[in-house]
Amino acid sequence: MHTKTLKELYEGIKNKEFSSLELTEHFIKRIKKLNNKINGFIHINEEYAIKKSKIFDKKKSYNGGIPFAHKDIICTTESKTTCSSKILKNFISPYNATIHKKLLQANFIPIGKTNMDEFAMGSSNEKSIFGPVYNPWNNKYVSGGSSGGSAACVAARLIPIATGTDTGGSIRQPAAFCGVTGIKPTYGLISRYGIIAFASSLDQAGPIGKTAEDCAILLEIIAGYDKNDSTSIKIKIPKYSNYINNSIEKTIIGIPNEFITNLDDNIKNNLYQALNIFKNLKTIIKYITLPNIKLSIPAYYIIAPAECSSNLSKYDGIRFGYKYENSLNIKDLYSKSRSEGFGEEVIRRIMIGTYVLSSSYYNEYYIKAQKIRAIIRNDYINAFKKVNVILGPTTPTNAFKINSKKISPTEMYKSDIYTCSVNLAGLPAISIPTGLINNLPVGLQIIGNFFKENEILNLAHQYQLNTIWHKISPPQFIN
Amino acid sequence: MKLIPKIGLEVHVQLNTKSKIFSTSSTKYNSKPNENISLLDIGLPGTLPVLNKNSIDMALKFGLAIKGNILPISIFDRKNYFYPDLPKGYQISQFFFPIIKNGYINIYNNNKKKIINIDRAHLEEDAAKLSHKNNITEIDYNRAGIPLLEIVSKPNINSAKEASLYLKKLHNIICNIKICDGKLQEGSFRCDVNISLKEKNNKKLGKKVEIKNINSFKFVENAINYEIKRQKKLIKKKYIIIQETRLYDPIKNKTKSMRSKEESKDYRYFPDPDLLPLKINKKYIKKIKNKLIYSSNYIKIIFMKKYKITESESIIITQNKTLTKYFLYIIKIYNNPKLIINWITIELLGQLNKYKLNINNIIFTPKFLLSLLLKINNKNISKKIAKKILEIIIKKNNNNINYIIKKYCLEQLNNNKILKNIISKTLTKYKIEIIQYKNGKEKLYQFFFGKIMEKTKNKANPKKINFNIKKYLNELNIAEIAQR
Amino acid sequence: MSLKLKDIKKLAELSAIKINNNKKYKLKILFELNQILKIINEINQLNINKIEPLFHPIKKYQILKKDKSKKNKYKEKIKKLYKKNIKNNFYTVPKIINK
Repeated sequence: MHTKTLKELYEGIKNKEFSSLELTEHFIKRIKKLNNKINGFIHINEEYAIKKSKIFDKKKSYNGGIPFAHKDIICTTESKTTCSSKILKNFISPYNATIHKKLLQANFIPIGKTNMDEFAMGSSNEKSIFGPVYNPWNNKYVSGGSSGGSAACVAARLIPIATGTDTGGSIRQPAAFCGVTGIKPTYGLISRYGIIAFASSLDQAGPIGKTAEDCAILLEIIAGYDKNDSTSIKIKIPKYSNYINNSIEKTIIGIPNEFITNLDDNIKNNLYQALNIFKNLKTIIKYITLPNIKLSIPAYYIIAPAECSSNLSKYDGIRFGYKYENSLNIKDLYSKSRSEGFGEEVIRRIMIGTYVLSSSYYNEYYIKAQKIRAIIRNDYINAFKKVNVILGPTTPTNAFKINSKKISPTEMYKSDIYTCSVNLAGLPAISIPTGLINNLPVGLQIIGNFFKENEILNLAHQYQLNTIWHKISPPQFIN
Repeated sequence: MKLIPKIGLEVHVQLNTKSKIFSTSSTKYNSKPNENISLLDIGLPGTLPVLNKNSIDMALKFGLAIKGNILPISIFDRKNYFYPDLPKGYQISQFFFPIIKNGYINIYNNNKKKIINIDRAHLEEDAAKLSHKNNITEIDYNRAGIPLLEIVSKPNINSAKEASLYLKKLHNIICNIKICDGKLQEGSFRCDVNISLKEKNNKKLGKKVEIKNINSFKFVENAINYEIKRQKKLIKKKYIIIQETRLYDPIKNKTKSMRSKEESKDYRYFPDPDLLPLKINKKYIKKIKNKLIYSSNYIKIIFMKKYKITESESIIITQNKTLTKYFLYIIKIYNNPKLIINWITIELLGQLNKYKLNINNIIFTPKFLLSLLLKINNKNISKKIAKKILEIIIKKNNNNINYIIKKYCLEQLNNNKILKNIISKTLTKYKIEIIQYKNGKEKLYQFFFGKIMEKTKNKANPKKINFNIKKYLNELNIAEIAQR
Repeated sequence: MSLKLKDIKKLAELSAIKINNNKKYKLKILFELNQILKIINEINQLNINKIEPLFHPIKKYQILKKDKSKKNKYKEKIKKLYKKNIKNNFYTVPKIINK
């Protein structure tokens, strides 16, 4: 059952090949057996999941009943939501995130929460109080982050589908490193209500699954306007799962020159192989330019820390979360609860964020970064006048070793080069597996125009109909 | 060296919306702590603000009332600092682009008008309430998130008296346009004072001292007076004035320094990414303007001022749209507000009451009332007859005045011959009075007039009565009278 | 633009985070923050004055909600989160020094 896609499991339930209870028990058993190899799951709500699956089976609607997992940044009432941080180690949310409510209404069965970089800050899932996530293809390598847990669990077939969040690449990069498919939707498509905020103008939740089709199915369910989120957009949600079957003939694919300069040879070859598939599907390939893409890294590392420094001010130990006992005064309570509750990377980003927002530097850094954001968005808009979609590698390298001393935190920042400009502009993008290099997966990113998730899912699905990369499993997890 | 106080006032007004500015919690006063709290008010992770339309409506009403500029696009910003009364660690406010800019309020100091300019007014959320006990501080989040309108004046107030007049006028305005309950003792109207002293002919501004959180007009006056004295003393002695925040102690009638903070606050303002820019178009403003103009309280005051009527009179006229229509229709042609009000409130409403009728269900129209009043004014009918006609029209719901007049024998006696007859017959009894009148006692004319009205049962045409009495009296010869 | 040691103390205070007084540790943080600053200083490469900053990736305006108060269904759950910190229905913190 764990080798089936979400689509196949849906059909299986409909055709009464198996019940939701059987499915749920199967995956829970598998998780218990294999999770310690990847450390992907951090909470499992076994009782609740079993209860839900029994209720579903009793209803006899046969529409749904599939187990899924959330990145532990999404508030759920049935289990803890920790953001892999000490400061929320015992936090149980009193309310459910909107996307969680939607999934429950669609009869999905919540199995548990997955590991992540603390407060979604990181690209390797090493910065978690629960320990790192191990790449299912090679456990000495990182899974990528910050949605490393979700990507690894789907890759290891511990769960058919999961959610992640993406602020600078946190869905797409781990999807690429783990050989699965992940999509970051257009900003505003998915409600952020109940998703613990890292950088509010960049965060978006999205599905991680084995195939583009699976992602399309989940996206249809979680997308849509939410009046509880002022930044969510009122727009009609297309039936993505139907649209993906359209022909992609004559689609104009743009390759930015800046994405292939200085690209690792292996990754470059892999990219051209993928392009060949698209050529065979009668698309048109054009070379374009995104002249200011280099500035997306500094802009991102100003805006994201700035917003997070403010978003994380609510963690003070007064109403919830970790509290430093025996504080002498209020200042002590704040500063010690926070310094003990937050990890190093989080503290660094809060301090940088505070710095760039301080009155003497606000114009020089924050305002300037938002101007660059406008420029980058404009570059994309100009590009989309000439092409329908933009293609490139998801990451400059594939997975690197865990605890690698060669890679400093700031080196890791630079690896966001292909992904973070997409968040700055607010565009949708998907990462699909396109091969293996040294037995580790590599991914291709397809960027679409605003609210054109249907187009990028279409391209991804057609590619997957003609390739096998999304079908292969990491050797340790085939059975 | 003359020193001029430059005073600016910042007033925080609690808007009386039903729900908080960003959450759906009730704003109703609750004595039990932490009852009106929602997920957002407590600052729980993952919660998001959604803007309450009524708080915008109220801010716009204020902007219109002070003739300020309403920004077509305004932004909400985060003001970041750590304090237990701030559940999110930041307050959502408006720093860069406030909803209202400029505007003014007129104050009258000993009948002399002074214009106090307002720099800006913006929306923000109120903080939680803290109570300091022995070893702990207690926090009540009921107040956290209640909408505030912060109104900042330009520093062109120059005395404690002016400050008090400004505050009282401002308080009046916000209560009249019904955006605040105005209860100072409940903290609905809180004032911060910024004061510095400037040398008269020197452009250089003095150091500014802030006095925070005063909730009484009297205390504001006292605090300012004390502070002016204090600063003057220091300047005279050539001491430096420290730029600081002070608190006013009403018991000792002094301002005292708050222990100085280690470093000045850096609030790191930036636009709140959870809220989109607020667009206010002309259509929206027009809707609010109409609501304001037709807000009953506002109209009541306008009518009182324009027509010089009392508050109770104004209330009756303005709170019923039909009566307002009557009033406005008639006053266009017959400009006697007091009289019109009298006829509407006493005569018309009196008759309606008597016969238990509703003004919206009767045949009587403003046009009729106008014609009645004009007839009285032209002395075509007497007041008494007019009242009788009114009663009958209402009672019988019949608007055929002529029919009524005929049926009830209210015809005017217009025949000069008959009148002449009646006059001579009646007035012969009053020879003495006639002689007195002829000798100069002109007041007696009314007496004659009254007697003829009585005799004709109020039916005689007053104009014709006058004409005939005068004729009769003129034609009389004193000698003749004396003889008869 | 790079940070000096004294800046660390100020930033820590503004962020309400306690930095260990250990000099070695402070220098480590200083180094790490300056590495990040090196990256973000690259925005100075471009001279941009006439561009409007983009604060939201979507070009829409704020939607307003009706002024209705809703019943508080999470009140008890919220308080349960931190029972030990609540006395007589008040949240409590140690005494604040500067009133």
